[in-house]
Amino acid sequence: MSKGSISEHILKTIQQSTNDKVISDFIIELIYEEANHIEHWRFKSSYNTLIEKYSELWSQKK
Amino acid sequence: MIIEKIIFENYRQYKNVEIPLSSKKLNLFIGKMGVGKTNLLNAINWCLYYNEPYLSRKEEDIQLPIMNLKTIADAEKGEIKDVKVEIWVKINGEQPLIFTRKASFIIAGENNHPTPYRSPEFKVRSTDDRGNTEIYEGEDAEHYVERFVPTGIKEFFFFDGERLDKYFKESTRENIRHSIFQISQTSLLNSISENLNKIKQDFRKEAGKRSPNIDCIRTQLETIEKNQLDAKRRIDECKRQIKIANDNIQEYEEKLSGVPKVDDIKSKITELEIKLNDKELIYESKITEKRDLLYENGIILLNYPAIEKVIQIIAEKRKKGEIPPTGDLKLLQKILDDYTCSICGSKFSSGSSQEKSVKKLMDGIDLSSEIGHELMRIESPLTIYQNIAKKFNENIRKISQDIESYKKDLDEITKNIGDLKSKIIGFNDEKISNWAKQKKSFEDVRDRNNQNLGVQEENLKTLKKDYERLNEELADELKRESKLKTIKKKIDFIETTVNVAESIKNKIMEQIRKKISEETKKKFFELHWKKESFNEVCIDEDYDISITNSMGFPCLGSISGGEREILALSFTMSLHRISGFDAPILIDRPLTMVSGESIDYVCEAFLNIAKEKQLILFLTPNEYKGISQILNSKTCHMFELKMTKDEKELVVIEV
Amino acid sequence: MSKPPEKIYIAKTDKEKYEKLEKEGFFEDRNHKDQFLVAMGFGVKNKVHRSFKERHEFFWRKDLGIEGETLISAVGIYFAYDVDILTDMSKVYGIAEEYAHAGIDLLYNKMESQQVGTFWKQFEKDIHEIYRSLNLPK
Repeated sequence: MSKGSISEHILKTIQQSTNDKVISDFIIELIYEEANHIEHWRFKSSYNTLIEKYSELWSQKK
Repeated sequence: MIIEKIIFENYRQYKNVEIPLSSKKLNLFIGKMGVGKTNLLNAINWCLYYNEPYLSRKEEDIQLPIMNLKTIADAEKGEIKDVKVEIWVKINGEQPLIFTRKASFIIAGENNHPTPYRSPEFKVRSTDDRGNTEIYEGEDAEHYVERFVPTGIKEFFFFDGERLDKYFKESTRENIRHSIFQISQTSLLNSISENLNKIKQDFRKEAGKRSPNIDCIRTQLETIEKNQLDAKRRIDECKRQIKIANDNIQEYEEKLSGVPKVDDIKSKITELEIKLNDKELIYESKITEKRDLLYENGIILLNYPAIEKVIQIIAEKRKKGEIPPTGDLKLLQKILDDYTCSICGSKFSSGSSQEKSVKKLMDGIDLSSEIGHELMRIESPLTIYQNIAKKFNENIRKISQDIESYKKDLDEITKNIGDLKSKIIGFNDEKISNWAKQKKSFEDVRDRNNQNLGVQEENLKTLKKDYERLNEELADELKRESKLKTIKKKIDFIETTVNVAESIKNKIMEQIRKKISEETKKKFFELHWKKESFNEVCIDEDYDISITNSMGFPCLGSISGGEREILALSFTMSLHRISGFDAPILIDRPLTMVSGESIDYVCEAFLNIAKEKQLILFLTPNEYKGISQILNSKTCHMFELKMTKDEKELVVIEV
Repeated sequence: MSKPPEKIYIAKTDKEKYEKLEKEGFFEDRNHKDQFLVAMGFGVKNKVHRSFKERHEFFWRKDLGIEGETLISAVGIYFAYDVDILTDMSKVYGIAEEYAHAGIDLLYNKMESQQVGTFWKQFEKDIHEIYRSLNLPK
């Protein structure tokens, strides 16, 4: 498992850990972002974009 | 994943060297101390991570340049020279991945000292099956390093022998937790939680700008979050200190279990010695008392014939009525001589009746009054002497019995002291006493930290309550402000996500911990030569590694250097297997802490490991001497490292 | 009745013996009076006394106390078999000094051949024997 690639196990565990697909998809997207960047990267912009998208979906589902 | 070859250009002792490594056999490098074996390890670190963690003191102190000394000597002033290390790596039989780090220096200054000329370059070259080469630089190149051996866990691939030994001696919980954290990629989830929390704080700040109430609550929440972090850090630190203390306590308990309680025994001995001293003083005084008695009684008994005789004489005189004296002979004689009565003064003549009366009186007195008085004077002391003499036997017996009794006590105390001393003979009592003191001091540390832990945990509970209360207040305030609906929605979403991420992290860590624990145990029993000596190897929920002997007792602190080496290697192998990082293992002087019969077994273990993973070892000729039967050119791919005559360059000879 | 002498004397030649016995332990911490009385006792016990010419002052008679004076008087009477000797106290003391002169010799010879610890054991044994031989009523 390298930083550039995510292990199947972690992806599977994320999906299995919550019934909320929005949350699990969100976390999976974030994990790929983290894996593709080095430490201390400028994360806020990417994160805010994803939060915007997924929080809307999440609140709609609720 | 194997290292195919390493190419050096002007790197320290390695002027122009190419080292081809085997993937099928154990790679063995033999060279004297100081020849540059460890710098091979440094070279790999420098190439991949741009640091040299194993420089010798000499190299650090004198700040020897990284450039080869012969290259510096041969260079012209102003010439630019490169230092380069290139590592060719093959992954699953594919085309090699080439990691190259190059640093350029200009030879300048008075002493022709190499000065950095350009920023060092780091590139990774990758060729696909069709022969297309892609070159990665900067961040992209660093990604490849992370794929090969991530920085966070490189210490589990590139070791020095001493560190391997220390690995399970010092508190390992953090080492193990850290390694699992790295290989499980839960560090990514950690980053996600941290970053989401930062964004949550931004949203709160934004909401705070629109409502002073919200801003106030937000500030309080941030303070509590900070305090919670501090409390958690302190709790972790307390737990770490408790673990270190417990490990040390256990180590000292194991040391002390086979030895006498020296401090207790010594204090008993001191107590008895004081008692002995006091009794000896009394005993001596009794001896003196007896001697005084013998002396005084001796005088009496030696002179007793005289005493007895005089008492007899006095008794006779008493019987006769001579004592007390009835008349004064001297006075009567004077009357006769003076022919004058001393009492009435009347004179008389010779032949007179008065004269006759006086003579008659004198005849009646046998004993002079002086003698009579003297006899009376000495009668009482003589009687006393007689009584003393009679009581002699009784008195002497009494004191002799006392002396006997004290002698018995003294003998018993002396024997007890002797018995106690014999319990600690042959033991280094200073060392043992020191162990006991050390154990006590660790117990104090543990107790203090336990106390502190309790306080911090209570503190954390209180903070949690406050946080929940304030969070609710914030949620209510956000609800009230319709303009902040979107922000509230995002904050709620983030909080839910963070909770899920945390639980996923814990779940994965736990799963991996279990797997590593099982793998470590399996590998350890596979590699160890005395399987029946041990019962269990495991890594528990606190990430503590424990090993129990066949009697069921924990024995991590007392296993031999060889066994520790096997345990560390088993753990490393399990990490590799589970992490999927298949990088080779390099160990500098792996037999430093191994001795005796273990050496052969450890060497056999190396050969076993080399069957499934590329293993590279560095040894001195002395270390190699004892194991050449097992590790030789038949079983290993061997290299000799030798310095040139001018000692500025290393030559690598394949054996 | 003649007055007793002011001082008690030992033979000059005995001075060294007394000193040696003091040094070697048997007379250690004993005053001269007691040393003299023990020596005298040895002489009386063994029924030996010897005159001497050159004398050395040993201690004051007053140091004897009534107990010491009693012993010396008793020894004088014992020697003379007559209480009349008490009329001549200088003679009485002279007798005591002669017994002491003979006694110190005996004591010294005995001590010379043994360690002081052994001598004390022997001394104790001797005293016990004397006691037994006296058949004193209890």
